[in-house]
Amino acid sequence: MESVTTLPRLGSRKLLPLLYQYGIYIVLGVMIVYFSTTNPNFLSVRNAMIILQQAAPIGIGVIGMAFVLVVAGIDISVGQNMFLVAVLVGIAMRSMEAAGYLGTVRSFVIIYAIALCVGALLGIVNGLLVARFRLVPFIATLATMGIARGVALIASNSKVAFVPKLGVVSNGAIGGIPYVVIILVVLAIVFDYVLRRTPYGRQVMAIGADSVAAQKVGIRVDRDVLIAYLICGTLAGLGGVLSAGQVGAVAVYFADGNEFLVISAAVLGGTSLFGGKASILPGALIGILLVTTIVNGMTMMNASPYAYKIVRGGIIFLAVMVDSLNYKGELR
Amino acid sequence: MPADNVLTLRNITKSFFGAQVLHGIDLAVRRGEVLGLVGENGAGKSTLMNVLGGVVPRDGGSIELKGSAFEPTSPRDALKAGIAFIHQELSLFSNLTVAENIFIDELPTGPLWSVQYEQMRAKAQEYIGAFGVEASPVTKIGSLPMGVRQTVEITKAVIKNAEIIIFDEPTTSLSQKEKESLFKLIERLHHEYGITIIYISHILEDVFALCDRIAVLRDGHLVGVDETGRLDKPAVIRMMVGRDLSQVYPKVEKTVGDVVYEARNVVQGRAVQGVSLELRTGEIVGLFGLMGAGRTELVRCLFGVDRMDSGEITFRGRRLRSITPEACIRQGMAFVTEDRRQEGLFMPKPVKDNLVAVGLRHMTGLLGMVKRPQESAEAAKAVGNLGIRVQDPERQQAKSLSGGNQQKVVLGKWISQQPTMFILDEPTRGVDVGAKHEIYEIINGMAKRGATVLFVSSEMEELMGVCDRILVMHRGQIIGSLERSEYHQERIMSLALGGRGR
Repeated sequence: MESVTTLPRLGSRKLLPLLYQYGIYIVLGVMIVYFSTTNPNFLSVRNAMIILQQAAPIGIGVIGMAFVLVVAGIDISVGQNMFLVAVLVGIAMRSMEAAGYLGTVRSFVIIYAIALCVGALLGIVNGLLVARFRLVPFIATLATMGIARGVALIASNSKVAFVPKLGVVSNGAIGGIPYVVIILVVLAIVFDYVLRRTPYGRQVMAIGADSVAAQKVGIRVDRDVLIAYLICGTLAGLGGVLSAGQVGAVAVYFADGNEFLVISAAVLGGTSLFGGKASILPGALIGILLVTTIVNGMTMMNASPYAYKIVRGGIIFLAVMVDSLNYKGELR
Repeated sequence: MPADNVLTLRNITKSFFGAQVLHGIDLAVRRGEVLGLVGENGAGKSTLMNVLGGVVPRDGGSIELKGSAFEPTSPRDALKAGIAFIHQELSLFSNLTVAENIFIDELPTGPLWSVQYEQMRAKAQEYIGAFGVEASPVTKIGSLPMGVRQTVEITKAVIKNAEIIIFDEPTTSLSQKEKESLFKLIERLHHEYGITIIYISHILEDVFALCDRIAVLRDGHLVGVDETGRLDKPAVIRMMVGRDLSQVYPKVEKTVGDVVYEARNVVQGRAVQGVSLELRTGEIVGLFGLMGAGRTELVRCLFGVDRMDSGEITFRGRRLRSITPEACIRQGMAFVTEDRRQEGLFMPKPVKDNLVAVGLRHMTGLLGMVKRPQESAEAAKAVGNLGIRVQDPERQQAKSLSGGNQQKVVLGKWISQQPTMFILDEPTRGVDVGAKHEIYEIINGMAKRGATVLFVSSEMEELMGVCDRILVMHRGQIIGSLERSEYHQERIMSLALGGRGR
């Protein structure tokens, strides 16, 4: 029982939840105002489009991460998943080019199919390790993360692969709106529907709240958790190939550390690391926008590249702290 | 012999870790009856019900449900077959709504796999109205009190067409009022819906009030089934523990010495308003009071768990300067509460680790390394002395033990330190009769060795059976102290209610 001696904190009881709920919009607003005042070019349609375009590939990863987090899991292999996908796509494109085959519609279909399959495969491996073999998600995905990176480094011989042809999709736009942004928004709508309106979505919410009870009431916990990792891996793969196209080259540090961007964006958007709570529309989108805005703003301020790491760390800390303060259940 | 048995269990056997838990149980459940299932913790009630619910497979025997063989392999099978469980820990999801929880395993879907929320809510509302659930279908479970949550779970069972509902200790986390409305609801399930009910509890009053028949399990055997009207409480207890009620409170030859512990004018907020007490060596002193009388607050202050506003404590002739749990432990005191989880029982750890947790630093050798043989020996000794029922203390987790045995482990953890003063706050709550008896024996043993025991309980009968003296609290003050010769239930109660106690 709460101690009686604590004074009633007027307002705070109403203010705090409100702050937790809308805090991210406030932070986003403050950031935009701050960067606008320091750099007049920041607040322009062109820069807004740049931010959206930068945000999109990783944002796709955030959508997938929401499903893993909602079942109280975590997937830290998404960054290296993106790297491996990009490397393998690069190799496939080189051999297509050698065969004079690159550039046809069919070649593109194959390229994106490879990306999705590689991502999906990593997702299935993670899902099996967690759901079937009961590994702790953090460790299971740490293992696949290492393996993915190792395979990618061997396959690429640690050399930079140039993939400018992917820019057709990654940097293309229709009516001023980048394709990648359209893809992000469509996927967000689809997966938000999956999470909110389908039985699968309700059941993963239940699993995240109490997986033992979920098993008892007859939810197929193993299958649903596996699917969550599958969604996460597949979307990360797609994000990887789109991101590679934006940069035009895949170097050894491509997508390195993206897992933290993805996880912190998801958490900033209101998805809980404790499971049972997730938001894709607008959560995942707002989260990734905030993260990207900060990076973009810092670039325009000519901040030291090392400062990114500090800011990134700060964002993760903030997101996780708010999540913990907000968490009402039993701590594990 | 009425043949209308909805469920028949024949010769059910089950073993865990090589220990036989069920020895060929034969039990027939009649259609539409309320059957009470009682037995000590560890008697096999839960295992029997888990076999029935498909949670654990049985080793032998057969189950016949509504005239045909029933082979459940998962809780889902049992539910499909019309058997629902209401456990003490509910299977509800706090982040979902009432309606979502009710239909979570089979959400109604329309086009594009979309959940049909309207349809779901309407159907949920229908039953919610009928059962008087004080919530709307769109309320999140997390915002509801335990009693309402339980009603939701029951509603769910009825919507799923359950024909048999098994209640496993359903009143544990309910208030008195919630308990009463639960019983009303059970009556309705029984009368209006014709649902067969199996009610498991160790609270015999409830079982007698609710059930048509009572089945008693002891050590994995069914020792008796009979109409409630032909049984009485002492008879059931005799069946449960295999001995008479009068033997529940063991007698002990011991000597009460000099005053060793003295508290003066202890004040804490409004809960404790100037309490003074004296305790002697070898004395067992009961502390009785109604809810909110300040018993728990007082003993928490005495042990330094909560800070007292003013007051002083003298122990073994010395005034205690700082009253913190650490200081009290150093002085040779121990504090055991009903809350075994908070108490610091490491649930996922083996029994052995728990038993030696406090005394570990005295079992170290070179470089502070733990002497494993000594550790095991100490643990084995405690298991033997306290009669803890555990197959393998080195490996079996604390959480696998029954409540009574967990409490014995907690006591054992402290006893290894040989404290001279024990503060026990409801040490037997949630513990069955047999284990209670054993805990009383442990308490007597402590006193016999010269330790002082302050025993807080809300069960008057147990205080009268165990204590040399009973202190009665009312509104933060001790308003009466009764010697054994003055014990009288009505007198204690009227004191607790604030009367003179004549």
